[in-house]
Amino acid sequence: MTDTALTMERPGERRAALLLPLLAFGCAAAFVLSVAIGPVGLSLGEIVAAIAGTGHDETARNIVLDLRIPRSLMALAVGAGLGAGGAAMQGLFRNPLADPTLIGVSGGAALFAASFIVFGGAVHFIPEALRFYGMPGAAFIGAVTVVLLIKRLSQREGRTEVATMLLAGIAVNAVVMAGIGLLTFVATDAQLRTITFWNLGSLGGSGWRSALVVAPITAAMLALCLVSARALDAMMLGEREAHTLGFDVETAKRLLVIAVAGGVGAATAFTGMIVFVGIVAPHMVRIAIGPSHRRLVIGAALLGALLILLADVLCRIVIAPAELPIGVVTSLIGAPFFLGLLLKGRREGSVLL
Amino acid sequence: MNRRQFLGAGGAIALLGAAPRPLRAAVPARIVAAGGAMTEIVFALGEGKRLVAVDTTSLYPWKAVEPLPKIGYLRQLAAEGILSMHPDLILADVDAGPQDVLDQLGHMGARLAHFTAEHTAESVAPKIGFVGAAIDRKAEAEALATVFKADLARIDAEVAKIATHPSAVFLIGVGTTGLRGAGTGTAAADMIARAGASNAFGDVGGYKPASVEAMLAANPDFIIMMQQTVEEIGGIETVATLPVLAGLDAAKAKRIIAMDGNYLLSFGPRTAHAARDLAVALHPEAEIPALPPRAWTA
Amino acid sequence: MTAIIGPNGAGKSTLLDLIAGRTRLDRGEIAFGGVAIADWSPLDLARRRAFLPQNPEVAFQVRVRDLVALGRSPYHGTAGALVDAPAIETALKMTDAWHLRDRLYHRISGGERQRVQLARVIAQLWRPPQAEGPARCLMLDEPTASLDPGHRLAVMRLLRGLVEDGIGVVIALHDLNDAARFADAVVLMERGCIIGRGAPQSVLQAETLSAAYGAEAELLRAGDGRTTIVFR
Repeated sequence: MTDTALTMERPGERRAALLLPLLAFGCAAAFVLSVAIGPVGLSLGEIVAAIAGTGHDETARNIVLDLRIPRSLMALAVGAGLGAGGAAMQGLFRNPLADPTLIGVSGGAALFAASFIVFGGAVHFIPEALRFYGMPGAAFIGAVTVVLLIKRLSQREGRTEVATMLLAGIAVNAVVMAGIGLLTFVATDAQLRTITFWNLGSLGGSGWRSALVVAPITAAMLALCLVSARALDAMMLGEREAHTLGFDVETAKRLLVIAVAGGVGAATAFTGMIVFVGIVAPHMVRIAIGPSHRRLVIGAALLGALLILLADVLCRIVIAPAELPIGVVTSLIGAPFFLGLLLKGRREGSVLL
Repeated sequence: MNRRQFLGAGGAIALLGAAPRPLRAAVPARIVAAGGAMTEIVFALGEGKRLVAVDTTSLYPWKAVEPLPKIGYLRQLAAEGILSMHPDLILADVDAGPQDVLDQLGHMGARLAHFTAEHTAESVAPKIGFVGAAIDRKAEAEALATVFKADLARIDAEVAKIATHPSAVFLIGVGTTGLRGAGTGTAAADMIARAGASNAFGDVGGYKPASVEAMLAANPDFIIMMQQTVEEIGGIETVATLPVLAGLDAAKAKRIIAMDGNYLLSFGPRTAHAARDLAVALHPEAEIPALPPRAWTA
Repeated sequence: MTAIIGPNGAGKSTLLDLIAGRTRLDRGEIAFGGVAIADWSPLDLARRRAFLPQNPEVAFQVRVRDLVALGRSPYHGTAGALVDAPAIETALKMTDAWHLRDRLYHRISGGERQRVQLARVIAQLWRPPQAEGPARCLMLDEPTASLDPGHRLAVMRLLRGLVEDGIGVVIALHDLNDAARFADAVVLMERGCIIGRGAPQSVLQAETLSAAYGAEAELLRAGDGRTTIVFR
């Protein structure tokens, strides 16, 4: 009963079979580039020697092992988290414009991290380690709180209405903005600077300690997104249709919310607000290989990582020895590109579907 | 090529390609300065030629500083950018940051000298000593600090003789978004006090937004602004007619003082002279003798 | 085949949602295969009943055959997944949408979309001919609303064919003549209540319909003996 005309291989799958390895290779190449390129001119030999431990140049070894590799790892994790988080959120909202920033996940993380900077600074007996994990911890709690709050606001008869959720996200974002505004009145100048710096987004502070917090969280988040990928596919038809197709939609949504809040919260806490990746990466991948979420989540994670790795390399070398905030680069590259997509979509009569 | 061969080849290239660099010289030959005052002190101690890069707040002496590579804004430093200058000493003033990057630099084997003290005119003499010790110019630093302290003491004495204490407000931001004033604990507040005036915006701490009404209620005798801000707006005349300021007596009487921000607020060797200039502007009727020009104020 | 008929807002869709287990009951109980609908696991239920909503919406651009493939979701990881490909192909051919298989769902016409959605729910219940399995039921909410007469009749005949294959069909219908012609039983609803049920000819009486629809109904007998319902 096999008709050769209908093998299960579809155009999306064929293209995915090409694109995903290509993206993975691109990521690996960008990672190598990110380790190889920096304001300090190191030869490939010096870098390899530093990694192999055969070099005699202590500075080179420090730069490669303690600056570039953890920073590149951070870029990889943050980019993958933002890309996959965007894909999951968009599937959840059934809207290609949905973005963790949109429903206030990033905002919640921002408000809590800012509060921690301002009020945590007043408590002097907190040990240093607690301070280090405190801010991302606060950001994570902020992200989760916002998501739970929005879920509560938008739940009716045990089901979440997406339109209400989006509106609730707008309201929460407004509260977050007001909260941060209030904090700037209470904050000392030094704290204010930290908040501002943190809002610009930068990978400059990345070390092994922070990278090793973000990377496992991102990995767990990716796993949760993949587990829920088929439910996300069915949710293209609507939440009730997905339920009618036998999916435990509420559980899938809960998992996805935890995944996105965890991933985006951790990334935001250590590197600040990096905009546009969460919306551009999934969108591009969806255009290329279709909306099947198993492939989409992987593709968006890879593309997000690729974008952040490359953007960070640019940040480091464009005005070296100074550095650009990465949010500036992602916006400068992402925004025009995204506007182009919007225009193209309008011409073809389908706005971002 | 298997991994072993690959790594082995890399190691060989490294050995051929780069001789190990000596990490620390006893007398630093390559200095990176983060903070305008740090740069000024290094120049005042006659060692400006050793600076290989400075931050964007290092604006004096302009001719010597201008061609140097810039490592970015004092508060947004980048570790590898600084390391790319192969410094053997990094001088960082109080406000340098972010802390993560300073921590990274501390672990990199580069010598980081981070001056931490309250950001006031009182900190200048210790700061000079700090830099002198860091660049191995202790005697010169002691001489400079002595002269500086004497200059500052003279201004303090002159200001103490003045009976009147006008009120003044330092506005760091004057724009469509409103006013931002310098409250207590700021560098500007310290200079206002030193110049014998009271801070009309002293009820709050730090640089804070100020409402137009609160400004009217405080009604300061003088408005102090950075030269750069005044020029951006279009000169004193234009500033005086800004709607947010026009109601103030100080604006009506054109009692607006424009001073170079770096000169006034960076707390370097020129601070005594800056305090004198500000005192003269705040007390036009008083006779405050000029300080003798110094090599570092030329 | 049971047709649910009634004027707009009579509660046809609500009734369908309730019996499909898509909306929770406030009171009472609905059983499917002798088991309360709330006690079914969603997955088991999904292999036995499929549902086609009135205005299906699809987020994101998806290829027709990928959309139909979603109908096979309940069989993921089971032996049923082995016949995914023939199920999708048969369903698309049954609804005359096979030629659309590689088109994007958003680029085809409204009528074509309706047929593709129908193919999706048929694929959900499809099993190879003569294969054993539990009873199946297909529920559709006005599936012929946006179809031209040719395709409308084709769809009704197709549903009739499914009934012959042993699939129960519950359908909310706007067209009373289709109900009269294809249904085995008719449920007439008005303002949330069932006001008539039984064989089409017993329910579809001029007085009952006139009262329910608020317009004078008349039954015309055509030459071939069929009745046509006309509103004056």
